[in-house]
Amino acid sequence: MSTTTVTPAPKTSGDEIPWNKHQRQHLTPGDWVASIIIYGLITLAVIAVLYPLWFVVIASFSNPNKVAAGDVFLLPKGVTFVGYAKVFANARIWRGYLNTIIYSVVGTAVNLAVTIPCAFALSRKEFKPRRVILFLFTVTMFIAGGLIPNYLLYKQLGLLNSMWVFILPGAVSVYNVIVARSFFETSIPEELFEAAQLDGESYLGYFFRIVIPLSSAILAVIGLYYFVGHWNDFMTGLIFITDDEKQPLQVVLQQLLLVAQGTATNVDAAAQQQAADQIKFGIIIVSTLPLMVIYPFLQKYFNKGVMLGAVKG
Amino acid sequence: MATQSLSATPAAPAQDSRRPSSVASGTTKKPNIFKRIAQHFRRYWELWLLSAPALIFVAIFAYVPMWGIQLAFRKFDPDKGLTGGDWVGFYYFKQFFHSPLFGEIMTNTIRISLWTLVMSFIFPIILALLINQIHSTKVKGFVQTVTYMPHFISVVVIVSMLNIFLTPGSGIIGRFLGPESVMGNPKAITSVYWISEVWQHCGWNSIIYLAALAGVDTSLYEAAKIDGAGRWQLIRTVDIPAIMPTAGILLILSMGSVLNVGFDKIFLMQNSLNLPATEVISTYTYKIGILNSQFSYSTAIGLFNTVVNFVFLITANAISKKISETSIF
Amino acid sequence: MAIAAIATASMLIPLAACGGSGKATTDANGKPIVTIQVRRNVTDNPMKKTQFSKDLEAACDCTINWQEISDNAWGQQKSAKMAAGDFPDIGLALYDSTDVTKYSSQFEDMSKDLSKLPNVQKFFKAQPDAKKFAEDNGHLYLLPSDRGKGYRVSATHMFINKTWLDKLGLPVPTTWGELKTTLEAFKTKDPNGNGKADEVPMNIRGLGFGLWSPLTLMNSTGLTTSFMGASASSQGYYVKNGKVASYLTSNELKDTISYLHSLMAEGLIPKDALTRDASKYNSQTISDGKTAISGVTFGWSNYSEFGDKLADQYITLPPLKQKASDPDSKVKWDYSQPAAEYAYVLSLSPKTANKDAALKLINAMYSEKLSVSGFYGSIPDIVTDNGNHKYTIDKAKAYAEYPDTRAVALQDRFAGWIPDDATIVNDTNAEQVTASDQAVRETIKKNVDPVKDVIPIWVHPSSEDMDTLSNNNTAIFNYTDNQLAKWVQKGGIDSEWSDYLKKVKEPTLGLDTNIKIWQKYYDKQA
Repeated sequence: MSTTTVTPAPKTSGDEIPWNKHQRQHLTPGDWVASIIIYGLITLAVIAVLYPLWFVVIASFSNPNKVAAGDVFLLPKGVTFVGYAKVFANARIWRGYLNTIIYSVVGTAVNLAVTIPCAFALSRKEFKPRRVILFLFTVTMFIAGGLIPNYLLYKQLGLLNSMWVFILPGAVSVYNVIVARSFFETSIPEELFEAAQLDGESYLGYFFRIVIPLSSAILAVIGLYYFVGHWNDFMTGLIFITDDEKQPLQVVLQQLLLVAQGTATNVDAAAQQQAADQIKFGIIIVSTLPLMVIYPFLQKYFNKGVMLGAVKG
Repeated sequence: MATQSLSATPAAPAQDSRRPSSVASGTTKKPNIFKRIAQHFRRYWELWLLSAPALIFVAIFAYVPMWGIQLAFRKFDPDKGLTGGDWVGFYYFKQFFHSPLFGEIMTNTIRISLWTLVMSFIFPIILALLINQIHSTKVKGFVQTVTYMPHFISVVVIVSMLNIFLTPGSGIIGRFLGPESVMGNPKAITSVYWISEVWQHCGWNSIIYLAALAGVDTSLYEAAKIDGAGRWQLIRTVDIPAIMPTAGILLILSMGSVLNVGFDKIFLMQNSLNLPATEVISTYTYKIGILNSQFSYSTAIGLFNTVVNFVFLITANAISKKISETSIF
Repeated sequence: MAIAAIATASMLIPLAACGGSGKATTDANGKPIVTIQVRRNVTDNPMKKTQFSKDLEAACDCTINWQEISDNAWGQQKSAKMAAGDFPDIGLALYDSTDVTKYSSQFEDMSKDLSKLPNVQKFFKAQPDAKKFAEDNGHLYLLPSDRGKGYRVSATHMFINKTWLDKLGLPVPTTWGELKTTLEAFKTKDPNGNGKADEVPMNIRGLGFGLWSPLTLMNSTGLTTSFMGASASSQGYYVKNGKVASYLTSNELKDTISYLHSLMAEGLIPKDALTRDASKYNSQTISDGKTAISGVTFGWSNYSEFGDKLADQYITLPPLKQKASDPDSKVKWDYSQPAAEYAYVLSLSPKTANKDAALKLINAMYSEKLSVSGFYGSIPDIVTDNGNHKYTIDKAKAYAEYPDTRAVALQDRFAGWIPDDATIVNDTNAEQVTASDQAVRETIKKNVDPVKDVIPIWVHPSSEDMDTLSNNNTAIFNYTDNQLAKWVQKGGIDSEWSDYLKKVKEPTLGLDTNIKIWQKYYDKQA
């Protein structure tokens, strides 16, 4: 991509990047060096991340013995699809998928509905109790009752072995409240609030009509944080769900993996042992692919120069 | 301010209420307490309404289970229920402090967590600044997508990938590192831990900074350019200040986890050769609590952990507030 | 807000403190409901649908509510469930004697109900060892299962590749020295004939006092191991001439570690054996099903170690002598027979609403036919009753999906008793492990006294002492695990041994305390 900086480009796609417009008149030798270093580092980072992932992909359909022996490098060797066949032949996988999608979608909706309004309220500096509330929130990030009190509480509330155990206890992530609050404080100009006040808007009106439309970036980020959390949530199913029909994808995959590997008291067949590694790599791909597909859709929100320019400029 | 003084010191609420706030430039008289509460709610009921669901969830799911913490001071008795055991005070805390493993566990925990904390703080910022320098939106999107991907891989897989890559002789990294696996080297295992943490989460953690950078006022760049700022200057004078508030908050929050080394990963990385460097509070608590069912002892260790973390958090918050006006509460 | 939070909290606490109730105890037809919770692979066939379950329901005239929980989930849920007082009417393979010691009020003492359990009485009469195993100071909180004579085996065997030996014209080694010479030949002479030096002369899973550990070699030095389950031996304690001691401070362990180091130093054991994950081990034992790679390993049966394709190349190595000059009587072998045959399996909750139905159900489980159905598969769907105590497993049905695990039944999580006079045809797992066990039987019979040489698994310390034992062990192993591993990897045991001894014996680590505790209970209960 550095080629576009080298050739004096006409005004092209890069016009959202502010300094791009001026590159022709201001490209100093320092900028050249900067470009080389920046793109060099980025290339390095991309390779460092991509190669291990590529390895997982090729390992997922290579002969597991060749993988363990270190013979597999750039291309798969001894291609077999045993792992994938085992993963997909299992009806429980599909039910797990469905469960996970339901838990993630409903869960994220609840998360956002609870987190964003609260973060907004806490971002209002004139709302004095916010310091106490934030303190009480933050405390919970560090002090937790522990497994057994939680178990008793969920039992009492009837959450055990129900889909709500995936959704309600984690409805508020204090971390995300803080992140969203700091977004509202720093990125929504106070002038907007004053203008809204003059227009006779209440807090609710201001929040729904002005703040929310300006917050697509933070909604996307927080939403993705929550969604990924739900998607990868493994322990909740393991600890609080006994009914196999309700287990999310991660738990199902994990069980499949363990069965494939066999246990000390439960000696499994040779063929199964051999497939275990392949299943392991296949499972990463099966379980993470959907997340990787979602991200590009949300990404455009991150790159929008949210609203500051419009107000101050 | 009204509720705050209500819950803390109802006796002396007077002076605070006089400070005029940006919105309320109303009465400065000294009304009685009920009136002031009523006034507060009349003015702010919408904000209370917006925050109510979150408050309720936090109260139920975070505060209610905290009653279980008293287990740290009681001898757990299954017949009498969770909180019915005899009160033993700081017995279990002393047991931990006098444990022959105490020194080793604390050193390991702090070493691993500090390395991870610092590196996981620095690298996402660098990455975000770099990504922000890319002109083409397509390349930018590609780099972002690639670097965030490892975040979704489960810990079990990450550790087995480490094992495969670091295998002496055959692993792509291990073949350059001599005949013995670095996974068994107590001196190297901390680096293996934080490097793999950075590898996995760097891209993901940079998202928040990229969101902050996306919100930077484009006119700031224009102005800096007119002043003749080069690329480095733009980064220094525009980008870095733009992400400072976010970075500050994230740093404070991470200070609160100084004694937290995520359990799963280090537990899976443990082997008999690296054990002197990898036994940390969470793995020890697991062995004591879940495997040996000593709930009181493990709760006490957990509570000690919490208190230390909390002290760090409060300190970091106070310092940050003094020097940079950034604070979480 | 703080007030609101506290108010909500105080409202919920009393609710949370008292347990839930109000579950139905009878079904729509008025039949009592008995809940059975079993730990098994939930990918297995659901128990609810089996003929076995219907037979049980007929016997107790009740409805069974099966709850199946995976090993993995149970590991996470167990402590919370116990602390919350969540105990099923009947539990299968859920609890061990440690749990009973800690939560004794939650376990029905079935010694009081034996009159209603004639099948269990018959079982105990036929297998007095099983009774001893199950009894805890005269109480009977957990009923044992007995997998039968097919599993009266040592759980650890040492395998050697006979095909390689024959090819190289070598005899089966009988001493440590000979073994080393053999391993060297394996390394250098390309016994698998593929032209590559890919042979792993000796392959190990790790180092520790547990199943399939190379430390089983300690049996050559005159100490007996019992590396299965929660035995004292698995925690590093042994008994000799009635005196309890720790392997960790023994010269016998020192010799074994030195020997293992000499093997690793010469590349006869893979250098990464102590750090790699299990998949690599499997890829070297099972290999590709054509070319064997491993020479010597420690495991359950040759089939489970090497897979059906390569198993026939391997034989069990009879217990080795440390030195050729050692008397025959010094050689021992891992004595884990009781743990391999019996398991603590069935618990009954004293709060059970339908106790009589539950007892009837338990009694039915211990009948011969339902024991066979529970362990191997329902009669007549999977197993045929040929009459005269003979049963034939339909291999095509039972092993179709999971060749060795009989996922169609409760398998090793069953509660029941396979009597010695029952003949089971096609029990491949038992046949294979019994075949693998032949080579060590004579040594065990002649040289191992199950009580004088082993702390029997029915020796149960109290809950209090159990905590002390495990806390001390955590501290001890934290130090010793690393030392032992380091010595195997890098050597240096001779120069460091005395410093090590000093440190291990430091009172703060509590080794002596633990030895005294075990001695106390050994004297009382063995």
